[in-house]
Amino acid sequence: MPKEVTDVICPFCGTLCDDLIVTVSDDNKTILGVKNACAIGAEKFNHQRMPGRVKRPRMRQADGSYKEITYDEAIDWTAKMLVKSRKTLMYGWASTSCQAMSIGHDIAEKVGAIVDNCATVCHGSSLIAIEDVGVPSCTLGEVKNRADRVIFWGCNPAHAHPRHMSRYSIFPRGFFTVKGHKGRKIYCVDCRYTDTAKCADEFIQIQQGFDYELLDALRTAARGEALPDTVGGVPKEKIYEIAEDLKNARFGVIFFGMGLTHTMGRNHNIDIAINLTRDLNDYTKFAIMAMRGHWNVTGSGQVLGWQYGFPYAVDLSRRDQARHQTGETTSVDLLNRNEVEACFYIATDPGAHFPVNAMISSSRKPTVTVDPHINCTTEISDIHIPVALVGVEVGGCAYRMDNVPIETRKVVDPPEGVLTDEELLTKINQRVDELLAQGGA
Amino acid sequence: MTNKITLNMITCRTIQQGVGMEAGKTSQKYFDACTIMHMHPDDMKKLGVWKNTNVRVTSSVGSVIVKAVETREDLVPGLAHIPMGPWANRIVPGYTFSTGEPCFKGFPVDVEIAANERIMGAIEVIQDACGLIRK
Amino acid sequence: MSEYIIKNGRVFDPVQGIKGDKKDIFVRDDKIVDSVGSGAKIIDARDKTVMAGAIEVHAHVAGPKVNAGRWYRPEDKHFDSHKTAGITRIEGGKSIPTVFKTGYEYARMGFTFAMEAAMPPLYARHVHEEIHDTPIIDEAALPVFGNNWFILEYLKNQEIENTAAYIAWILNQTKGYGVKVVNPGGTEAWAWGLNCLSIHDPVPYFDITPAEIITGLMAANEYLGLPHSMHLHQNNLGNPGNYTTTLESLKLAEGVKAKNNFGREQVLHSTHLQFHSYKGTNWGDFESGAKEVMDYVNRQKNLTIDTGNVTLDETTTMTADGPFEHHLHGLNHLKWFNVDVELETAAGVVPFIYDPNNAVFASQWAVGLEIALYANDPMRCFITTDHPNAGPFTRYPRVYSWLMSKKVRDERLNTFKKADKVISATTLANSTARSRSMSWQP
Repeated sequence: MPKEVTDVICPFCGTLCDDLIVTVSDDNKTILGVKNACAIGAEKFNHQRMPGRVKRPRMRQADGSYKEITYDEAIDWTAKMLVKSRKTLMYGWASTSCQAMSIGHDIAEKVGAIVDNCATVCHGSSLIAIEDVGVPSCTLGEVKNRADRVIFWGCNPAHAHPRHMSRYSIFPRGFFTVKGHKGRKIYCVDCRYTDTAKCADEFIQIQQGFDYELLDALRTAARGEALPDTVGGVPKEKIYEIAEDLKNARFGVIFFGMGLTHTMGRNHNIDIAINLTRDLNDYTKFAIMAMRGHWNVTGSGQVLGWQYGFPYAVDLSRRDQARHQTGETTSVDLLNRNEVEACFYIATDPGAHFPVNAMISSSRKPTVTVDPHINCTTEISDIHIPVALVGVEVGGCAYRMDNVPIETRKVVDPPEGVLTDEELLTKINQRVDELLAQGGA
Repeated sequence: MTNKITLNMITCRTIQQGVGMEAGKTSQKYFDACTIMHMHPDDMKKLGVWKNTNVRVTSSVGSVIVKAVETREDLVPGLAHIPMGPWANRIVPGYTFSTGEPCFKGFPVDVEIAANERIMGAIEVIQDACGLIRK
Repeated sequence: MSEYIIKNGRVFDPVQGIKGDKKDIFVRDDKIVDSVGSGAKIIDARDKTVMAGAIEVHAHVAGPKVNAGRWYRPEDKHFDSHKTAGITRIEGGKSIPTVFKTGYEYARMGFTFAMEAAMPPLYARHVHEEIHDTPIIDEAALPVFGNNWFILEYLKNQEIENTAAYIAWILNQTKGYGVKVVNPGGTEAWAWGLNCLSIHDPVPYFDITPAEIITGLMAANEYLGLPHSMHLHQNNLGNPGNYTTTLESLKLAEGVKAKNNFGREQVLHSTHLQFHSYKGTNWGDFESGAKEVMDYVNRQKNLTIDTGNVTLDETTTMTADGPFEHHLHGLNHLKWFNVDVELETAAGVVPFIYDPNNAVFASQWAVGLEIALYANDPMRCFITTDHPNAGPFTRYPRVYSWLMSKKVRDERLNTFKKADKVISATTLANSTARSRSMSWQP
């Protein structure tokens, strides 16, 4: 008889929905259905049962084809690559558990690697800004229970965090927000009239790339100072009106996304958004939150934080000291400058998401990719090691976008003989120890 | 002479891209979701392209063939959007201004009609860039 | 069976009155015994101190706000990050060291245990993940209760049994070790940008006062008979004139009796008392209130305290007292981190430079030492720096020397740029005392 597993944690985005119901076959091997998930989350579970999944490591041959090898061979090759390389980029981590990350960092310290996570091409700008000016924030539950002004700035949860609006930010009724959507005023600031904008009470269409200017204008308006006639395509009357309305909030929150972090200005856009939030706290209560996208990328930042004191781009290649300098120890820059000698990718797909020149540089180095599925990176790597899907076939701790840690659930068994990230990394770690004890590769 | 227009390019996530990605990078869903360029109807007129026609998009770092479509999520004239993925990244400038973040949003591209050109597959488009396809 | 002998060390044991005698200690299977076999491993402790592992009663060493401090202060790693021979992991950070450095540094000073002083229940898993990764020492954590909606509701209705049941459930769920209360009511008020500066300010919406919360939680703590007393960070922290709020809060424990099977007599532990012992009406006429506060503490046998000694360093302040950190940010304008946690608490983080040239900071230094020096019962006074709020825990050796030696203390006091002002605002210069808390030292 099929059974239902309740309170399953979705392993897709940073919202970490924790109310999924997954129907599993009697033998614990196949997922038959998913309830409560968004379209993307459901697809993640459905992918588990698709035919043609790779179940053993594969090595690229001289003719470009891939040959199946054993886990032991793949582990040995990987450990030798790591020990031999003076500077390996160990990038990814966003789709794996904190326990696996911890083992990965242990390896990285021994072999002098650089550990970086997906924040480097997502909310890295936000982390730089937080390093510069701090951040007044809150948990998502605070938004649900208290917020009466919600601003989505350069983010599109309707597409990227599909259940965010219904669980936390627009529609739910909370303890002090019994009227739900009716009690909240929703703003959306974007250069496109997005599907999120369609849910907002007020859409502010901004000229692409003028976020800094408009945020600065809002700070200026909040202080009652003079403005030019339009800023970023928005008339000054509107800006004064919004600033006044925000000051009159009971509890306000700004959610921001790649529209701020990717556009010109980068960290300065976030910096000024945080400073606007800080200013508004002189009048009322205001918070700001990054819409962290890739599932457990927040967790990677946390683990790196408590182990080395930096949230991403941590260079351990000096062996006696951890270094972090954006532009220098960040993945795309390292690859652009051809500074690494080998690449180890886990739980992400830079082949699909890094700019092309970085990946051309990467493809010329010894590369190992650890991922449950075939993707754009596995097909330009020397070795692809398949693993169990974290959050579906194995549990582990993950952090939500508001840094709340949640233990994820295993709902089905991984395919016969397929290792988990933790098992694989533990074996690589042991092999690295053996090689180092013998004096290197 | 081929008609050519210059647009301001952004690459963003879409829910179709997210679903396609989870269905698999080699899936038809992913291909359909990411090999398109959203354009404003005015720009399509200016270029003289019918919707659902292939175009060549060229930036300072390279070019890629995608299909021009009209968008549900409205753009202003002059702005174009290719969903994030290996196709978009064939033209994303990698320069980071020392922040680690490449220029995913807000870079100039030239667009020209390439009705008879073929759109590459997800694996093909990255392997081709890396010189891993044996001709 | 594992056996070893710690040979030739100078042994200290305040309970047995052993004060630095040269003795050998025999250990079998982690227990001290009278003798061991001839095959026992020998550890040479010549010229070293042998003592029971020291205990840190109140520090912020693991969890969300500590980690926020770590990763929003990359500059903190520039002071002191290295890997010395003989250790296995890279160390980083000074005021908010990484978990590796935290474990190593405590161990270097002879500590074997640290209590994380504020665990938001929602973030308990994070605290435990850090505890798991901290080498050598043991750690535990105190969940916060003073602004929890359920607690506020139960106490408003005077339901002590329900309060106790809820506390028991949270302690079990979060693997917590006691009842921590931070700025009772004030942190909930902060969710609307407000605060409770006196113990009679009503908490918005919940219609209850800090005094009622403190009283109720003490009662629930004794109802459960927990091994620790309620651990209180009082309202009105860090403001001139706050010693009256402190005395009013401490008076709530009068007549409350400890009920437990652990031999515990105190019903209230008042933490980082230095920050709560100020007289005056502003930072200009600021004075020490340590004598008034400690005279009261000395009389009341059911209270324990810790000091919160300012060490005059650049450090990182962090507390579940969210409104206080916002206030502090308004004073020094350094970067401000805040997080409000639904139903439970909040936290703030602000870097802080205790400049010894500033009369207020130098006076805070003096107030912390006075608290310890006025304490009559060493068993009821713990030395802390409220790490990292008043200074990093790695400064304990300095704090001990200031407390143990009038000479060292006066040297520091007299070299302050505004020494006159510090001397007139405090009583430290008159004190010839050596801390009784440390009186078992040679």
